[in-house]
Amino acid sequence: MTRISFIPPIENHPFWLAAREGMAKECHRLGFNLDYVGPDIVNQDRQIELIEIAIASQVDGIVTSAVDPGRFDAVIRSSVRNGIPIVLIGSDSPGSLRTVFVGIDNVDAGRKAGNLMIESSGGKALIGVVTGYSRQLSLNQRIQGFTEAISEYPEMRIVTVEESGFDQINAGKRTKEILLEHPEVNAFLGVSTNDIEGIARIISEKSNSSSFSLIGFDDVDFTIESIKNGLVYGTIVQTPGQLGILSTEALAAVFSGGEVPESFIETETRLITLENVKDLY
Amino acid sequence: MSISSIIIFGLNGFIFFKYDQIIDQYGLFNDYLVAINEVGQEMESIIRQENFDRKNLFFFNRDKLLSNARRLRSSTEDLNLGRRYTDLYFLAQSYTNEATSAIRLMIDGYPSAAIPVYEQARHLFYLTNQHYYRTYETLALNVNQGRQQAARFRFQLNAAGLSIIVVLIVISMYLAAALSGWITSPIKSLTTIVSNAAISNHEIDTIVIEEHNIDEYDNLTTAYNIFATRINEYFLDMKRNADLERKLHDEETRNLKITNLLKVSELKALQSRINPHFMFNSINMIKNVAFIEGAGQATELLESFGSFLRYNYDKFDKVVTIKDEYQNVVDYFAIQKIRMGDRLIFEIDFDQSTFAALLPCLIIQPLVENAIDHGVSSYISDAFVRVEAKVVEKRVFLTVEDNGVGIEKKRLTRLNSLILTDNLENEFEGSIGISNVISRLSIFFNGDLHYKLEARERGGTIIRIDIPYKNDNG
Repeated sequence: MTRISFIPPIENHPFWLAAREGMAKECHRLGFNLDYVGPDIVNQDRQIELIEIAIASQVDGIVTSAVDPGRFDAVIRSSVRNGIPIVLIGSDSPGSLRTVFVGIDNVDAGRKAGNLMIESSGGKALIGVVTGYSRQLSLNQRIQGFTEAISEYPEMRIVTVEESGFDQINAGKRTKEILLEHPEVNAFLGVSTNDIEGIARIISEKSNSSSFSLIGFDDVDFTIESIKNGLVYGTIVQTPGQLGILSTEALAAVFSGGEVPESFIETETRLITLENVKDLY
Repeated sequence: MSISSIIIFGLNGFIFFKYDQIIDQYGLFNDYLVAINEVGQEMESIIRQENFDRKNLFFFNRDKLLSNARRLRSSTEDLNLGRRYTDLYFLAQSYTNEATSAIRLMIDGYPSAAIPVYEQARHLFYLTNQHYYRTYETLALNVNQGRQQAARFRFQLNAAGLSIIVVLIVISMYLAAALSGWITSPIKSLTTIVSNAAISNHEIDTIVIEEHNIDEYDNLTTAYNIFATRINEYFLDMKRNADLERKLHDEETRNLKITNLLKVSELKALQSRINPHFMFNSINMIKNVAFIEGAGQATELLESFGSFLRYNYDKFDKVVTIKDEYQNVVDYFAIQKIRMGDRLIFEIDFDQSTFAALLPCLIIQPLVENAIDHGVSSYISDAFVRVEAKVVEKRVFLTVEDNGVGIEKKRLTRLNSLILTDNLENEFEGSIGISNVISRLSIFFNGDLHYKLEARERGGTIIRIDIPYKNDNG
């Protein structure tokens, strides 16, 4: 029995469930046994503990996502030392001993989000940013790309960056706070999956909701609905299922004795706006 | 039916097998926790209290834990649970490896090196416990699902069992109905046959016993057939007796008729003969006187007359031969000759072969008398009467012919048609002659006679009678 452990940062989350689905399909095809277990809320200590359990269980391969790159390096080292390949998906820890990273080019994705913001606001925007976790590399890379894109527009700038902890209710709270503290803000960027949902729920309650430019990441149902009704201008969509498939393939390559050719396997992103939202499903 | 029972039995066994498996798993799963805690206690005792003599107990418990973990690992076919158990097995391995290392280092006298390993072992103990409780959740879920499945399964089994019972009941009801039909239908048909036989006027049909029938029914049918055969025999007997009685009755009637007819003849005779004995004696005496006195013709006449009367008297109710009749006719002729003299020509032509033929007495003489009285008595001369008897092909032909006044043609036809009826007597106007003769002949020969009155070509009448030739030999 080839045992794979997939330990996402948070277990019951649409993005990771979608990744699990792709991985389960691939594992079934390859005859691997997949264990999917993650913390109930984002909790890196718990996540690392689960990775340690997988290592002590002498599984054949681990798939996880480095929320805070530095904090995972030790456990990743432990895994590799125990002869267990470990694949990071979605969010990388480039300095670690991880076998391979599978995910989007987050800087590029951030740039695309910036371009959407420019389109949406016409080059004039005071932007509130809500991100999942301020030290997560992938999210910071997106913000980095976003900043790069809008830097050419003097009337566009990020007013503040707040942290939601990957929770849409917290994202809503942060949005309210931003609006109180920075009433001039007329645009928002939701960086991690649930952030744009929290933002949009708060903005939708406002009378001048249409004057806000909202850009997000990923495609939870509320985000898609908000694009359809014009509340959210657009979103950058990853393909989590593909993350699952490609990470499993990378592990299979390691098991069969071959080296994984690249340390970074890129997955594609798509821009979703009102124009193409119908084609999404 | 039995196949489904076997299947149900097998499935039931399967359920129990599954339950046993779950109970075994629970036992192993529980033992795992007990064992790992024991290992932990020994480790603590050795490392913390430097209680090295417990080392063997540690190794014993360690091996117990590992063997338990191995058994637990192979106790299920469920993929998820199997995965957890495998993980638990390797966790136990990782933990005991670390703990063993720590203890060895401790025993070998490297406590400072042993402590980090011990800490790592404690961490692994903690991780193993974490995984154990997660596995417990999976097991509980699995058992719960198993129980629900078993409950569904049991429900289906019960439903299947119940339907089999229902089907069995239906089939047995049908079989019972068919069986009772099989038993009662022959009895019903027997009942119908018997009731038809009861109202039947004819012979009773017996019943053909079919094969593969019920013994009791066969016995009943056999009894009925015997009964029917006897009834049929009685029926035939009764029929025969009835025939016989009718024949007897007919015979009696015939005899009565003969007697009646003879009585009529007798009465007629008595009217003309007051006292036959007195007459015979008188005639005899007169004949003797006539002979003494030398009156030859008178003697002859009286001789004939006496003979004639005696014949009438003696043979009156007897069967006679034609020869007797012939003699009687000869006597009668002799008397008439005296009376009529040469006026009457009398021819008598009897074939010798007829003499033995039997017939009632006084048949021919009345015919002759009739011919004379009604035919030629009024003639002054040339009255002619002829009597003939002959045998042709076993029949006796009698012919009496006269040249008398004859009978009208119309009346002749009528007489011929009425000849054998009671009216005949009236038609011959009180004569006991022809009708009496014909009637007696008809009775004697059982109707086997032919009779015809004809007109004679040269005037007169012919009576033709033919009767069977019957003699003493049959």
